[in-house]
Amino acid sequence: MSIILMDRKRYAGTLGLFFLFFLATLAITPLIGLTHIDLGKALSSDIAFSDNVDANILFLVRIPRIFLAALTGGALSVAGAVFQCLLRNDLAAPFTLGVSSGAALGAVIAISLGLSYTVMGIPTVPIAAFLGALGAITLVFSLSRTRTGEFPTTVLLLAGVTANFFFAAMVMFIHYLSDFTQSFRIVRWLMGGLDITDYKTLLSICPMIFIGFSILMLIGRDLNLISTGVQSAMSRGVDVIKVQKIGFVMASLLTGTVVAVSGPIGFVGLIVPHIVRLLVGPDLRLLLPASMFFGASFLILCDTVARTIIAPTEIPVGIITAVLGGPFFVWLLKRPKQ
Amino acid sequence: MKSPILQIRDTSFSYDRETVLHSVSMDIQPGEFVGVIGPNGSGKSTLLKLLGGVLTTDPGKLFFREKDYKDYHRKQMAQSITWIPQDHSMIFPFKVSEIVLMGRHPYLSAFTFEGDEDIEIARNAMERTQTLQFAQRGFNEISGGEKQRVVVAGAITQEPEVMILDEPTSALDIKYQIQILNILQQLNKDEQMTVVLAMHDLHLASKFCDRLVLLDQGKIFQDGRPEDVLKKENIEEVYGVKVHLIKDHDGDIMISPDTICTP
Repeated sequence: MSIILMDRKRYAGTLGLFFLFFLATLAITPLIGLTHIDLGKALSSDIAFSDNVDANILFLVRIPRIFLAALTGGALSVAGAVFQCLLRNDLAAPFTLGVSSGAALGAVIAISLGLSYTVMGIPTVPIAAFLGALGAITLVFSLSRTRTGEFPTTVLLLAGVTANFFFAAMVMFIHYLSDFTQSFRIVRWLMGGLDITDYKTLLSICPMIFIGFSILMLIGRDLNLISTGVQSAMSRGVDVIKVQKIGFVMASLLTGTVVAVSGPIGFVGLIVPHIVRLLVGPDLRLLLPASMFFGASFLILCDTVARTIIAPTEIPVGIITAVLGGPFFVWLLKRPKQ
Repeated sequence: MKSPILQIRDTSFSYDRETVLHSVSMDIQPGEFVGVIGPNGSGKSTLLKLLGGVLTTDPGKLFFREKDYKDYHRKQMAQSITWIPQDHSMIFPFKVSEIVLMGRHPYLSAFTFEGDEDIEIARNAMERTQTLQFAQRGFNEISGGEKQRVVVAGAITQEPEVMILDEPTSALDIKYQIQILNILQQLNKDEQMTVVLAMHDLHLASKFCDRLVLLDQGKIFQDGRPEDVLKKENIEEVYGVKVHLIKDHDGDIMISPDTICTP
């Protein structure tokens, strides 16, 4: 009888399927939208780019937006999977823990200080958002950890709610004090939209997402052990404190980076790791990359709905994810436990 | 004269302000089968966690093969000593075989998959603990006795020299209790595995252990051979109940409440 569960072939095969699903989403969704795009015309080199309306919509509006959705969805899902593992609680996610609102506060402070998105090549708003996220998770972690190193659901959720209220109040305070232009920028950003982007912004966040994701992959097996219990992980040779620090910092980096661009988009980091775990199991070495691809596809699809459901009006994608995520969260909370 | 495999020297331990161990010292020899007994809250779990390297204390207190715990790398330590918790609640739906394979962690470097050799070691461990037949089932779907065997299989997969178990039999019925103890005895006999375990059942403790350590309020009350530790007066003082002792036909000690004059 074979007890092999994850040989390299099966691993590559499963991940390949997720990647194909992601590619299919990438290929199909740019063509969906209010304005019909003639692909032949868009790709034609006979018409000058500035005169080619189809190409303009495709390359300057839809494709950057879809890439941003992919990066945001992927990063939030990976961060959610890591938070769930480190806190050994499957209701943990960037949004429910208040990490997204911490990131939002960081970003709002940077915006209200009048900092532009990048200062001398340094992406200031994402860094501020990352610091906000890190502050939030540190707060929630220290508030909700019991003496035995567990994170009871009720305490964790209360800590998350507290953090959410606190950061929201701070955001409101800063918003109230800011002048008209800043206020408009803040509101616009807080709504959580994927529509304000260009390739330069996209490129600027890629390295941080790549670093965060790669480092988390390197500690995948350590994270598996921590998700089964801190003390038994220690007895198997895991440097728990170090892995917790790396995990929280990298998951905050992922959250902060994408929240800085897309605003706080809720529930993606909660829903996606759950669905993927049902499909591939809880091993983070597979769960993380699969969540990356699936989360990317998921947010692209949600955004496609947001763009088209009451066209010509485009609604913020955060509304779609919240409409899906709210009931999902309630189901998670109320489902029978064994 | 063999040198001790584990040593704890004059160690006290407190959680917050509550002291649970008071200057405990003991040596454990290689190949010993030691039972730690005592009432609830007497410090058994804490002592085992210290010995297992799961709780840390000041340097100069804990020694493995006469070298301070602090001078070992975590993974190096995990290749020699394993600690098994009392509670096996699992939030995520890992399969039995995944749990067992996690025992290979101290032998693997970052982001690698378990190789054929690791899988072979895990398979052998599952055969010895009769868990191979449910290798593919979810850990959360199996019974308490099965879980305990799976966790022991994981510990065997870790290939340690010392196995420390926190009340491995407390939540089990008599069949599973004996099954687990037999597995541990086999490891102890066949591979000279040093076993240290906390137990509540004093009769089984006297049957399986070469040595018993009786804890009372964080202090070692007595440490020695089962027949010396399980004395009427010791038990009455530490547990605070009136008892009388019966020897079974193997000479192992059974303890029965003295119903006539219960305090």
